[in-house]
Amino acid sequence: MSGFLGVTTYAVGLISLFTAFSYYGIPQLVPEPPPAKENSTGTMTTEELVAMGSRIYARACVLCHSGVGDRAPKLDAIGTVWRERTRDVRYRGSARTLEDYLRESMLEPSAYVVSGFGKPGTNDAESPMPAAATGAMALSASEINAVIGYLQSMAGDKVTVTLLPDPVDRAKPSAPASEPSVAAKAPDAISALRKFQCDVCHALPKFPVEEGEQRPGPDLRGIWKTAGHRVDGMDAKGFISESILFPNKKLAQGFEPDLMPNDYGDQMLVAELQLIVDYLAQEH
Amino acid sequence: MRVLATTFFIVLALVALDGGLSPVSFSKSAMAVDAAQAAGLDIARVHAPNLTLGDYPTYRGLNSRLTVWIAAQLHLFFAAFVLGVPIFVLVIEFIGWRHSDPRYDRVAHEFIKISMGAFSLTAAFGGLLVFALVVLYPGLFAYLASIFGPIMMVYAVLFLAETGFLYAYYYGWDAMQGRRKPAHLLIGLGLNVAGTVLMGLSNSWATFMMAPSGIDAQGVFSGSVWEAVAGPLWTPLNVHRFIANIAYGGAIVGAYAAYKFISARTSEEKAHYDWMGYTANGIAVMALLPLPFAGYWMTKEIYAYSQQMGITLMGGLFAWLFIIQAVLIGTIFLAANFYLWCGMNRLDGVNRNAYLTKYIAGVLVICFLVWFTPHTLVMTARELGSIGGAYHPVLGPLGVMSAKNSAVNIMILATFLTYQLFRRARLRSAAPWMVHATRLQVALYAVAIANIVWLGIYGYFVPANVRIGLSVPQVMTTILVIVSCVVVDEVIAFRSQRVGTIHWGRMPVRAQYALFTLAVAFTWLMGLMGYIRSSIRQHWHVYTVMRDASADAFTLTIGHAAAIVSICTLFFLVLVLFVFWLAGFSSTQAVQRAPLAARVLP
Repeated sequence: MSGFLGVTTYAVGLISLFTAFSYYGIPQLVPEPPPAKENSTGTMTTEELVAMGSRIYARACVLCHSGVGDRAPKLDAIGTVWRERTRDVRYRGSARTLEDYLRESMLEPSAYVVSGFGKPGTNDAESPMPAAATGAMALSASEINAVIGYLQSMAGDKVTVTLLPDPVDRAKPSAPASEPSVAAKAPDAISALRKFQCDVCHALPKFPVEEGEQRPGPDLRGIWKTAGHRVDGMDAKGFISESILFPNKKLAQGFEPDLMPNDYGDQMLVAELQLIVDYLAQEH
Repeated sequence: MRVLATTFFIVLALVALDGGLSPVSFSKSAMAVDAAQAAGLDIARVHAPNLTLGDYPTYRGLNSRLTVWIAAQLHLFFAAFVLGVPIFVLVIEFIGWRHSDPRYDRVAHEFIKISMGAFSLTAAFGGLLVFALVVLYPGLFAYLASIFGPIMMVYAVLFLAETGFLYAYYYGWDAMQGRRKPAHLLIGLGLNVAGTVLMGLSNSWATFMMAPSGIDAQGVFSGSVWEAVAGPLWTPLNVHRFIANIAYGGAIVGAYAAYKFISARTSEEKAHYDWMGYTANGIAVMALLPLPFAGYWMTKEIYAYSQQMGITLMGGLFAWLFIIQAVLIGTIFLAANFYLWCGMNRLDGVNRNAYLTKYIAGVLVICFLVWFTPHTLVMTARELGSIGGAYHPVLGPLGVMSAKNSAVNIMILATFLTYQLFRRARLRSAAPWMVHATRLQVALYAVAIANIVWLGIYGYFVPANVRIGLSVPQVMTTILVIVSCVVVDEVIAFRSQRVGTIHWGRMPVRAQYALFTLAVAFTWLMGLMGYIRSSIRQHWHVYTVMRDASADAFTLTIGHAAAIVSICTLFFLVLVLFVFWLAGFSSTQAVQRAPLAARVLP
């Protein structure tokens, strides 16, 4: 009997020791709850979009794309290195802008594999990264856009993502009361241009302009033809978007800086920005 | 190796299934259809259901996850035991038969006797697990049944076959001696084949949930049940569990021998149970030595399947659980070696190699500390500032796999050396070649350790994917030393005289507690690793295709998980003591019958 008691006491003591070490010898981190889908409501400002991207990035990306760079490439200099990568002979994608490159990297990670980060035995031809839109990550289109926006912002680049509300949100009758108190979203491009009074300073397509009338800002009726050629490597939508958000970055010839407000990034909803960009980038 | 192992398990399964698993037979599986209909699934195109909280019934406040967890863990503890024991019982019985040594036969019979009580408990907890899944996770069970329905039916039939083999093997032991021994050994082989296939089939459900195969991105089944079974992690898990079961069976039987040794009243009993404990410890340690390599393979395949899953496993929150694992494996190595060092007392006179044990102990402790060192620390900003970075400035480099791989290989070599010293202690030979052979072994150890350490250091200067590959030559070095030394030792033993005797039973009681330590640490370790393997899916029932929408989909804190593992371990040990008691009860009756027979016989 004493043997039985001795053995039992010893076993219980040993188990208690293991348990105590697990409790007190190891940090008791509280894991994050299962990720919920983050949907863009269409009423987000650019900053909110970037913040959403930051949250998703912390949840889904940072474990590999950490600041150390031993598991997956670091992304802190992505704003500059992407051009070199797209010129590399191993590049198999078709991106011409940073936004395209980031999107391509997330959806087709093997389009370009940074040297040393390929799957073992593939000679850096195949990426071990899963496609962001499927599998365990399964990010929605708006979540991917938000991450791209965050990465652009992190790289010190302009946020050019064009975001549409998720289908589920389109069905909503109105934005929840807890959302930012901004004016009602413009339903279309014309309304958006009027809402932000763009026509006061610019001549715009399909907006009445009197013959010979001079406005404080550049005439934008033909911008769809020229915007894609203003900055090397930047398409028309990217240029227009940048010009709205950072008006002093690339000035039109003959115009002075600081004439146009530079806080549209705070005022405009992402969906409104996209409506305006799409409108100006197409032929009318 | 992978091809060989996969072929082995597929051949076993094919033999058992007799080729009856065509896609047609699958698609008409009544069980699958019923299960799918019960869950409201489209029979023609069963995809992974998109569950909601309402799809998880609750039962009288019972925590569904804990219920399934504890039932599954206890089932696995007992299953590992009853699958592992018959493997080495068959080997021991075969050795006893070939060498005409009744000691082996007796100890093999006693080993299998212990597993008899555990067999019923395995089935009981298996039933509890299935009922818990059906009641508490009907959506998941229906989906799995829609794919693995035929496998489940085969599993049930095989279980019956295993039961038949086991009863025939155990109850026919005394009757099938002498000329009938080969037939008895064949029954034992049948028992092991049935058990191994059963393990392989049930493993396929677990690996499907971790790394699904045979389905598309929506979880729609392709129709080929083999694709679903033979997923990327199936073979590594089979190999890992096969080896681990042997080690675990050895550890539990060792605890039984230790318990009987402590309770023994005569020197004969002590001698018998000492020898039994020595044999069981040897089995556990020998199976333990290749286990880390099987674990590496499994982890490598996890990385190959999903780097995201692999990094979450080894670099995220779960990485801390591997520090606990290091403590447990360190405990196991130290306990096993301590038992062996105590065993030196069994030998006559002073063991000329005994002085080496303190150096071996030092090496083990140093290697354990290296393995124990964490690498990626999750810290607060203040802690980060005080340390000066994410890694400890001095100890940080020891936390990477280069250092840990080197440490574990050296630990294995040190443990093998302890065994070797015990075996060599009684051998005497005046032949000069024996001295040269011994020097050759010493040189092998020296070169091997230098190579292992050099590869470890080299790993710091190469990219991660190259570094992972360096573990292969390290492992090969260790295996080469062990195999070479065994061969040389056998030659030496064949040409040498044995001096003195081994005094079985001359062991301190504290050595028996080392055997208990082995059993408890093994059980706790199995519970922990089972938790890690299962929870690495995080909020997925079936990774990437079927999300866990229950209220328990979150990952537990480490302490909380450890508490559940402890509860499972305690519960298991209580039941094992009950099994030990049952085994002792039957031997008491045997002892009582003997005098009666003696009186009746002339």
